[in-house]
Amino acid sequence: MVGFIIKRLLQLIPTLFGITIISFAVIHIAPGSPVGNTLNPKVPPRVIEQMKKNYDLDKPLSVQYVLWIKRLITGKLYSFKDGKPVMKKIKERLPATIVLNAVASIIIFSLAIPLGIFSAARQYSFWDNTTTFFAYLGISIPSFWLAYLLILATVKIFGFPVLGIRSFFLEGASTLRIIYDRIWHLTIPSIILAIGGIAVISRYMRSSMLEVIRQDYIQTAKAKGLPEEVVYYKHGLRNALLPIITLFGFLVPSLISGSVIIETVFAWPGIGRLAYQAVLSRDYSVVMTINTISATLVLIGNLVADILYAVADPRIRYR
Amino acid sequence: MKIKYFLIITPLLIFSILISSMFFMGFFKPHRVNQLIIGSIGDATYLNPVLAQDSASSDINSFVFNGLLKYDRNLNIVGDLAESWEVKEGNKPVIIFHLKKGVLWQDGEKFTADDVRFTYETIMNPKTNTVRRSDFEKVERVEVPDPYTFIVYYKEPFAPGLQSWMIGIIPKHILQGKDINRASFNRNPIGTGPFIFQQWISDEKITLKANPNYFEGRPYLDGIVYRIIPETSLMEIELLTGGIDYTGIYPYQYKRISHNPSLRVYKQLSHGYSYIGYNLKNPLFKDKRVRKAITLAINREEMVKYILYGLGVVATGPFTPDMWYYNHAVHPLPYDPKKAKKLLAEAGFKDIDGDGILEKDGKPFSFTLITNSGNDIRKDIGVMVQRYLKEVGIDVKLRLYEWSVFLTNWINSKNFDACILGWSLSLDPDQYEIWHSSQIKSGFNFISYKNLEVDRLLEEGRRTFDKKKREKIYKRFHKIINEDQPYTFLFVPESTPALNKKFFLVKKEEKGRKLLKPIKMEKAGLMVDIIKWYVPKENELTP
Repeated sequence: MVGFIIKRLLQLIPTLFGITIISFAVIHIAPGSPVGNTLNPKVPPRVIEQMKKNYDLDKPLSVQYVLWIKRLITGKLYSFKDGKPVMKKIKERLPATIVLNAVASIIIFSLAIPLGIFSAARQYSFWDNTTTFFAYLGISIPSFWLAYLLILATVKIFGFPVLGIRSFFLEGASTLRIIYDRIWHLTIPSIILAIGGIAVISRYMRSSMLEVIRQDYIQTAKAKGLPEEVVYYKHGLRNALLPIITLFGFLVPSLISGSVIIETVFAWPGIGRLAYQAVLSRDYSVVMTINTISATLVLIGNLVADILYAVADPRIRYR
Repeated sequence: MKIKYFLIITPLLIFSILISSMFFMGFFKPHRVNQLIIGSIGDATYLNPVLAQDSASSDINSFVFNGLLKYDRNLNIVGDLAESWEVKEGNKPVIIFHLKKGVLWQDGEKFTADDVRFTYETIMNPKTNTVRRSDFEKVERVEVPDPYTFIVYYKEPFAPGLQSWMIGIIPKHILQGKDINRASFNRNPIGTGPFIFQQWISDEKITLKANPNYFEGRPYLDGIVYRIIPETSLMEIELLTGGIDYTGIYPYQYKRISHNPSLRVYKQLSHGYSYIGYNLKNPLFKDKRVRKAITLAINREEMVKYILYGLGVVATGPFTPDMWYYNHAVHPLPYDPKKAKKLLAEAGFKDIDGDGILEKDGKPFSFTLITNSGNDIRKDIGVMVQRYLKEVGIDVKLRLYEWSVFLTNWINSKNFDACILGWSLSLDPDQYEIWHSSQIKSGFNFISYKNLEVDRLLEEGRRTFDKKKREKIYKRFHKIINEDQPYTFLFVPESTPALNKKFFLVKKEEKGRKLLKPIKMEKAGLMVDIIKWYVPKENELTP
């Protein structure tokens, strides 16, 4: 097992190298440039040329690539937009995104797994049909629209909306109040973010559970007179979880990738908005760094999923 | 069964924590405080007037920094950090600034002419990533004979030069010897202005507090909070619920917001206009009659009515009607599709094959109109123009591109037929960069407009200091541009800032009592008297 993990980690290195090249190429192929992205008569082309020189944007692409990697490693990479170190910018945004996505993921998995089991155990019953109905509703509803409805509802009930990660007028309040304020601001966005996930993952859980309970060994367990709960939760669940673990692998990158729509609708200062604005203003260093980080996390997520397979299913062994 | 209970209890626990916060927090209200909360769509970038390019940064910088000069409420140039100044005209003009004495930086240091020289030298340093350099390129050298005198020698007469000294002055004692592009100062600015920078949380808010030592007196407000709210509907909700006090609103929001009893919505013509620019290198648009016909065929009154909800006026040329150099003798071309058809026929366009589209030399009159995506007003213009021109027999294809793509692939490479764009203007009438023929190759005359008289007028206009003479020059320029119709000038929109009614202006203070009056829209904008704004307490509200 340890040997397997080391081997996989070593394989990451060339893949990572490929990822940096692709991240670099994608943003440089797109038209535009981080400077001179405005139509301002007071900024003549010669000023823009000088700025490009200051930023080393006049050098050949291969040189720019090496410079980028060098600066990324030494931490001397600065945003084109506001001259701030890129890593500092990302670090500032990460907590907000991680907390939101972590809470949403906890909601998703803690709700979707029981719902899926519940539906599968009572296939085609009234409750199964009801959860199916709501699952499809959850998949089809545009999340931004639902978000607006909930924001309007809070305005109606409380008289003001709940935006951002904290209330801006809370200076000097007690710690408990500040903590509850944060939770309060998390509630609606995390639920909105979770709805789609709950719907999808509960469907996965249902179908994989259904598949498992049709197997012979479940029939055997039932036949030998085990209580239904033991059959489902002890013998069935573990096998039914395997496909869900694959999805869990995707969770790691999604924790930091953020969502432009949800973050914009709730004025949530997360990575999604940072990345989106960086793409629009062609802030090369920010875009490339975020791309590289999320691609790396996808790789790590896959690795974690592989390890979890072995944990969940003793038949799987890596060498 | 442990697993079963675990699966049931976990979601219940999470939800009860989340929902309980509602009962704890939900009914907590912001209290009435003596501060101004401004709502902005975008975050600031550099809180340094030398480096800032975006409007959010400029807004904050205007509270924290001062220039040597400023515009007063009626848009006359007056001294700010300068007590007075003299212009010595001639082939090599000289401007002498006499600076105010006793002005302090917000950290307590004295402000002197060395800071002004430092600001100038920082801008001129090629390593500085500033967009302000072109304003100062006509300066030959500067001189500081004593700490309160600053002399600028120009290489040649350059009238817009005076305006460029409105740029915020940055402190030498903090920034000297530092890499200005990456200095921590850019996020912790120290200026001479009425408000002191306090805190900046990226993409959330920027807070400023009153400067007790401001040279024009402490502002009546205790502070300003600049909140970043990335979406217009949220901005409207925050405005209506008192989460923000001030923001600019869109025409479609005007009616419903102006009915709100706690808000006042102001109106003022903005310094800018929207237009359709024709690529004059394209043979279709070489003929003046064709351009004029297109303008005649477009109902601009209707555009103002439906796109701007009536909040704007039809434009007649490159200036806006409230400025001293606007030529009121120039009238907008009327909406007259019949005359348009006549002009097109004169230019040789006739519908021969009867398909409703005009032809000349066997080629149908068809062109592509491009603009940038993400701007609903420009998209609406495009759709309406398409319809109007179809009525006179011109086929228009509308294309929208992402801004960088639009700029790089189409505008800067002059690879377009016609484009919808807008200019925001500075208050000085000089528009050399947009209309002079020397700016076709690598400037902002991307439509390739060339008129020798216009060239001469623009050159003369920027060399003349006398306001009367300049007025004459620019009125003539306005008239020619209107005749040539290199653009179809569409409209000048009105800007509509909304402000909470709790703010008043302190007219004067007598025996501890403040005499209040409502805040008025001045020519120079709403914020010109910001240091006198005040939120009265309940017992101060009696007139």
